[in-house]
Amino acid sequence: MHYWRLMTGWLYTVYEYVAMFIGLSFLGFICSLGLPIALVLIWFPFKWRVTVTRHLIALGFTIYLWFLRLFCSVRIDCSALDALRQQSGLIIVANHPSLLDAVILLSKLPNAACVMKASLRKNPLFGAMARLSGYISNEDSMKLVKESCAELKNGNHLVLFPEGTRSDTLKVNPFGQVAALIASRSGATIQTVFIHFSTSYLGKSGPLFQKPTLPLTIKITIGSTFTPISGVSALTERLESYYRQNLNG
Amino acid sequence: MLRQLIDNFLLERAEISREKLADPTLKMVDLGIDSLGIVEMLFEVEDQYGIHVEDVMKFQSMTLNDVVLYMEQIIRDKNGGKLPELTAVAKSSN
Repeated sequence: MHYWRLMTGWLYTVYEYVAMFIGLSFLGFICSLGLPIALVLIWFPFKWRVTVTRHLIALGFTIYLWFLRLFCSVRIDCSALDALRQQSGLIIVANHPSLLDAVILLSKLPNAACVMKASLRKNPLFGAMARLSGYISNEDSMKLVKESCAELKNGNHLVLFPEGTRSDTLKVNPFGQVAALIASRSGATIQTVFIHFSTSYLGKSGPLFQKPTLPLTIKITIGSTFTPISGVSALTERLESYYRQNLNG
Repeated sequence: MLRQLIDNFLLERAEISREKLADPTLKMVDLGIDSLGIVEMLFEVEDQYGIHVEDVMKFQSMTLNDVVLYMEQIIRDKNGGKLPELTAVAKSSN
């Protein structure tokens, strides 16, 4: 019995490494498909190009998440996001515990623009599709706010992570003021979203090839909405405090 | 009036002390205002004067006086050399 447990434990660890490897490889494969597709999309008129690219990204990420469910023992419940899909012009903010966060949110929200790191737009795998999708770079703060307000005015959602970068743990980092500033400029409502991971995976401090603890459970829940009635600093403090209360315990 | 508008923002919204504002050698970054704070300040000026400002990063290395002069130049360029009066600003500063 003891040897059986030892053997199955050892085999399960091997499986966790294999799942991590094939999961990341499949993400790379899905993203690499974007390159030839981008060469076609670039000839589309701007408005079509943005819409089609965002839907293709959502489709690609949906396929990727199903792959994780089927072959990598990752349990993902993001059905709560379906309710947001029917709405428009929301600033969707979320905590940022993992590299998978944006993948999950964008898979369900093809009508959303995403604020992303400038370096990601230069990424050889994802950069071409990110640029064609009109996702917003964080390189120039003023441009970021203006482009975000334009997206919201057009009825699109805006996805952003107020922490600015992934968190080291499952708790939240200090919030930047960008979400509140965009809300106060656009008058759009901030919709909070919580991303819960059963164990830390692909966080800020962990390496890319870190072994996940499987089964990994990821659950998305919808939180309160915040309207921009107070100043930028006050709204940021309210948001951050709300996340700390709910995630930091 | 433009100077008053910017001072009001920095004092009331960015909560920068009067002593720091009075020091002409301090750059914006030394005042303790980050790039988003500068963006918020520039939006305030944009809204009041109907101008558009680009390249926010350069403002961080400017002193407050340089920022005011730079903004004033943009406003004058847009208004045929004139700097419009802002009654709303005058009221709030009283």
